[in-house]
Amino acid sequence: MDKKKDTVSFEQGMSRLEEIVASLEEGSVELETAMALFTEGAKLSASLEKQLRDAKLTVEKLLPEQKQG
Amino acid sequence: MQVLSVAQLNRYVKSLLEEDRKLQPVFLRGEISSFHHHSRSGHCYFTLQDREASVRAVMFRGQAEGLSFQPEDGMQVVVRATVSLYEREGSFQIYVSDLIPEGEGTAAVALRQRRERLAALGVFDLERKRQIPRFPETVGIVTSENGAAIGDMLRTLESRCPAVKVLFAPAQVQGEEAPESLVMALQALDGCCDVILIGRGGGSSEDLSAFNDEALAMAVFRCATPVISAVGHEQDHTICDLAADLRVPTPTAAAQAAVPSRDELLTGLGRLRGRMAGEMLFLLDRQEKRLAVVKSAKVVKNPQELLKIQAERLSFLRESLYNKQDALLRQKGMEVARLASVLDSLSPLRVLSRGYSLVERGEQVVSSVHQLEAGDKISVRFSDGIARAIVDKLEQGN
Repeated sequence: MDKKKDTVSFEQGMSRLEEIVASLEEGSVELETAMALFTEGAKLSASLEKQLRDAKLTVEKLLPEQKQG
Repeated sequence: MQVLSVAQLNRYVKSLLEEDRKLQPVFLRGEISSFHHHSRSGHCYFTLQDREASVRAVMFRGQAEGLSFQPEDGMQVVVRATVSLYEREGSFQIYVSDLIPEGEGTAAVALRQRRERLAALGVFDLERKRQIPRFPETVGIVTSENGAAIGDMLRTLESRCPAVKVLFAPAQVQGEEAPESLVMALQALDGCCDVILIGRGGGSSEDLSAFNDEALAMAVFRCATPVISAVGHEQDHTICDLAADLRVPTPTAAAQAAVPSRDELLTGLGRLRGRMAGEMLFLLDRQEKRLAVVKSAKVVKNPQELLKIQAERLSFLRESLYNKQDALLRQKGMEVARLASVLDSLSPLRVLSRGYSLVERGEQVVSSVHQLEAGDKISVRFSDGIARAIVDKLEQGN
């Protein structure tokens, strides 16, 4: 959930993962597609987990002098 | 005897009233009715009444503007006023310099009226509440730098889900400058984060007045980013609480509502992975079973079988083709025979054999006596031969 690097945001990642599981569960995908989805999903869930485990809380303080933005 | 003008009388009575020290000032208790705020002049006109009597009252703009609330009909009040006379109409009235509501108290009335005004503007409407995002990346915080709230929020965020960035805009949460300070902090954060937490630790009702400010309520209302308000007063929600998209009792609760817990997310991720793997195994298993069914089919085991079946089919088709052809030929033959007999019955030779004969001159068949002249050479055709003859004489009609 850090600033957008090359990776997707946590929200986008989670949505995609849920989408993948839903299409697998729907059961009408072909085997090749299913394999591709599974591979993508596995990679995605690993990277999301890494994002969660590695992150540190960062705090940035805005200066009160910033009048009338 | 001296005769006075009406104006002289009124002026004199007015001076009597104004000189009477008992009437300057006077404190009165009564109920407001027929309240009218003259928008052009800014003066307020109303009637002050109790069960037995009423008196007309005026409150000039200078004094009316000093009120923190709007007087309204039916309100029980104590007024401080001077008594005088409106010379032009000769009516005596009171000039109100201060007005205090009885019962609710000034601040409570002001707060209630502000709440009603904002409610009428739709600031508290549930339909316009924005959705708090599921996975915010940046969390904005508006609170005091010194209070307990910031610590509570950061601790909770840290332990719950450290995978967020916090933007902290410090603001004064009490005192006269607090409302403006809160509004500026809110505006500085709007657009830079996914959700904004605004609040302070618990305090007395007096301490929360900044969070009942109208400008702050409008800033929360206009904020494009969802706002979670935690002003920390369970009983009586502040206007800021009501205008926010979500209100929670404490700063800790605000942080909990803003971000999902990491443990729950990890569990959720694990569950998604499990479902994915389960689905994949099921899919593979099903494909394997399909393959097994195909492999065990007769034609796959013995391809010769397929050829045999096709050969049988071919010979069956060929046989039925021949059968069809025979039937067709038979049918056509019968049809030819029938037509020949029809043709035969129509032949002229057939008619001649019954005793009739045909007269011809040259190539032409003669069907009328008018076609002939005496001396013409004709042929008379019988079924078994022809007689050549010369016309001797012609007679018409029978």
